[in-house]
Amino acid sequence: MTDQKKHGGKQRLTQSGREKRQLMVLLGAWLVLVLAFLGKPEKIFSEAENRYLQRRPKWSLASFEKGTFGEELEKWISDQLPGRDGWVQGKTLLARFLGRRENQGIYFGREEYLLETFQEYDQKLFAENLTSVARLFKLLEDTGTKGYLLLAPTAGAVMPSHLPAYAPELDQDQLFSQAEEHVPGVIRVEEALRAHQEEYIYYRTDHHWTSLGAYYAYEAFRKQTGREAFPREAYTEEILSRDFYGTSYPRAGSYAITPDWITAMYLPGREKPSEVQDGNIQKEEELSGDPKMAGQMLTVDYGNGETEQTLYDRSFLKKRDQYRVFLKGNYPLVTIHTGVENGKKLLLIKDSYANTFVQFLVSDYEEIQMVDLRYFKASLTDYAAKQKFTEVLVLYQIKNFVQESISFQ
Amino acid sequence: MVFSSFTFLLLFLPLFLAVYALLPVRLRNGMLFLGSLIFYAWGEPVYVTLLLFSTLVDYTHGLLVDRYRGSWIGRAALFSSVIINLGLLGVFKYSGLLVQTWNNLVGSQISVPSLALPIGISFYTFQTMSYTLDVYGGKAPVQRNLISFGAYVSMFPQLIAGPIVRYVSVHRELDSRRTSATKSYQGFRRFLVGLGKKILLANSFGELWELYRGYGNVSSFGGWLGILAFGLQIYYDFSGYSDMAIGLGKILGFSFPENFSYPYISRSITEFWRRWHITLGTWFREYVYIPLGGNRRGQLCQLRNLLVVWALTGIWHGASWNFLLWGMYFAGFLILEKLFLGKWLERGPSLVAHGYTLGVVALGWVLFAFEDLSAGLSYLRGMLGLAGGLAAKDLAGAWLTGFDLYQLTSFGPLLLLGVIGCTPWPSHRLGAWFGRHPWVETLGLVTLGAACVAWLSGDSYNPFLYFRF
Repeated sequence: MTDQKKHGGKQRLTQSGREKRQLMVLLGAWLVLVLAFLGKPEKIFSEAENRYLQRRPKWSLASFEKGTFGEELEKWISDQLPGRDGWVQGKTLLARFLGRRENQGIYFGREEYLLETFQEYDQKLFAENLTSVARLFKLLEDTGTKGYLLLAPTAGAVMPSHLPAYAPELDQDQLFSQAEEHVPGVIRVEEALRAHQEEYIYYRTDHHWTSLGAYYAYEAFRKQTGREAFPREAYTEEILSRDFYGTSYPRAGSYAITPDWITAMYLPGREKPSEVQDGNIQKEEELSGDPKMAGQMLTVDYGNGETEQTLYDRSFLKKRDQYRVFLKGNYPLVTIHTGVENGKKLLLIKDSYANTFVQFLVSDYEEIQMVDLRYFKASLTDYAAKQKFTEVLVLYQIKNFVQESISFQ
Repeated sequence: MVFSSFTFLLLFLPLFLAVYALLPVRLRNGMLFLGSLIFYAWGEPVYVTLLLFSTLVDYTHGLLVDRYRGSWIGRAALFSSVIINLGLLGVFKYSGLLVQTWNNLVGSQISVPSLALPIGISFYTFQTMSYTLDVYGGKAPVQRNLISFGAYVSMFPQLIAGPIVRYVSVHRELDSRRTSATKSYQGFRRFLVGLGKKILLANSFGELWELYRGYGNVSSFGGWLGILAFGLQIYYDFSGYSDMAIGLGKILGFSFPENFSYPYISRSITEFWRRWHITLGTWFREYVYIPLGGNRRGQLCQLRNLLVVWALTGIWHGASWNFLLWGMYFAGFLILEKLFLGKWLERGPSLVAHGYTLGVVALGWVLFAFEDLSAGLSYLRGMLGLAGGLAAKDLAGAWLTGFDLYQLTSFGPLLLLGVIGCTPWPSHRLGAWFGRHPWVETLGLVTLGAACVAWLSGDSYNPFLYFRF
């Protein structure tokens, strides 16, 4: 009896001893995290998220009453949490493990494709934007400028086999048809792209099309405007980067995935290949293509005093947003004198999808002016009337076109 | 402040517990009071005064009730406490609804007050009322220590989302309570489980529900999927908060009453309400149903009491008429079950009873989820396969769409986890297994905590899209 009691008592004692140790483990793990956070020097900028992080907020009664102090404090902890990028990746992995098919507007597609979702849109804004474009075209028609609207489909609409099953994507073709009904001169490129959907026409980790994708769209553009395009073989394809991670990559949580390659496409002799060359890059000393254009000087004027003799700024290949290798990214007004002498002058109203598209346009126009409406503050209609363009091309990715108000004063 | 925030998990709680543990026992109630005020002021820097006011009112009224026990002053004090508490609720929670309804009824143009609802007011007014009522009824002794009383009213573990802790159930622990490593470990375990329920499950189900609630024409399958998501969200959210509260209480040495007991395994609505938000049901039984006579004054009187209690229960959930309707909806089934349905369900196959209960509860959630009745009705039409627009366009779409299949695959494993978690099975089986492998349990808890931190980080993940265009 006493033995039993003793035994029971001992067991209880060891059990409570064990629970004490279990408690210590829990508290220890917690304490490590808290202390690691408190002891960590503040990080100012996040490479992974490409933004400034929240610094420790300053206490004031006013900001406390407004609630901003509390919000900033919460943001401060989550931004400065040690190993934040790792935690975020952990969440994505866990969510994927639990079956989730998308994260932050990015599908986990097949064959390592991260595709942006396009599930809904603002019908009113879309209609308004179409009306503005139609009005602009009408206005410019009177001065002899022909207008074209090219809306680029998202990767999901072009390569649906890479989407997760039953992905509730919008029917983008319907949007293109609607555009066609309201605007004269709509260029439809989706079928041309779909015909090449097995090729590398969209980046896997970025929402943009590749140079090759832009080429197929360009080919369709030329065809639909009754003109010819150089065949693909005419272009030199130079690999600029083999370690490009685009915007979809951090949004999908930056887990391990093979990086993208960036390729430039230009007619031989129109660009100087990189100094540092990889053995794989096909080097063409011989000039092929149109001999008339060989050696003609191309100048790009960024409107801020910067001028370049090339469409590529290879310094961005060492930075985070490598896509900016194409025309440095987005500027309010970029003027390109292509060296071609045919008197044709193009106004290109565009988003960043056009930055790869321009590679092909430079052989067709004497002058190209690229306008980014988000930064271009002057009156575009006045400007266009004065400049006497022969053509205007409005080029947006469809998702951008339905999200941003596009209007021309 | 909410439990599922970094501010709480990495600053407030560790700091509070460290100070609390170091303080001598007699100062701990003061610390609890102070900490709770800071906790509350974090979310309600202005309305914290309201909390203090409510505390003072019931503290003094309790003293008056005790001092003038048996005389009219005592009764008047009780009456006054109830009036003031209900008055607070009336002004801050229901005034907008009442004025709006009055305007609609008589066509007047009285400006509708737009007071923000103070967080947790429905919970703490009920707690403070329970104190005065318990003192009046002689169930609990008067609390002369203002600090201890303040600690009771404002206690941060259950201040915002319950469980509603009646004074009678904690007054002893308020004055002397014991903590131990075992209880603390169990408390942390309970807290982490609740945190996981809230962050990993409830928030995900909420995401799924949001996809359906705004959807004009739901397909039949989609409608049921959506309401399943809502039912799981509200269960895991609420029971998760209760778990966290009970766990924190345990760490501090309190034993709060259980609030949920696997409600979705019920075989009748009567049973469902014994298992769902138990402390609210207890409150209404103790302070409304029984004082009104309960079931002891004949069937007609009982019927009236049930209607009163369920009208109040309904409207307690929110200042909108759909909640009243929701309460009355359940009252209807409860009365039917008392009359004959209950016996039938007992005798029939349990599958029928489960199906009936879940069906009634699910349709109830539609009433609950849509404050706008017409939106609720159109959702209901979708659930029944009668969605107008869809049906006209393609008949198959009225039952099942690709969107539904996508969401089902995307949320499938979580939904399955959620459904299994509604039964006692995992807790019994896991509990027994962890009992034999205690260190695996501890490791599992650390992992669960890490998963919660990761999930919170992921939700705050906000990459700046430098070249969105």
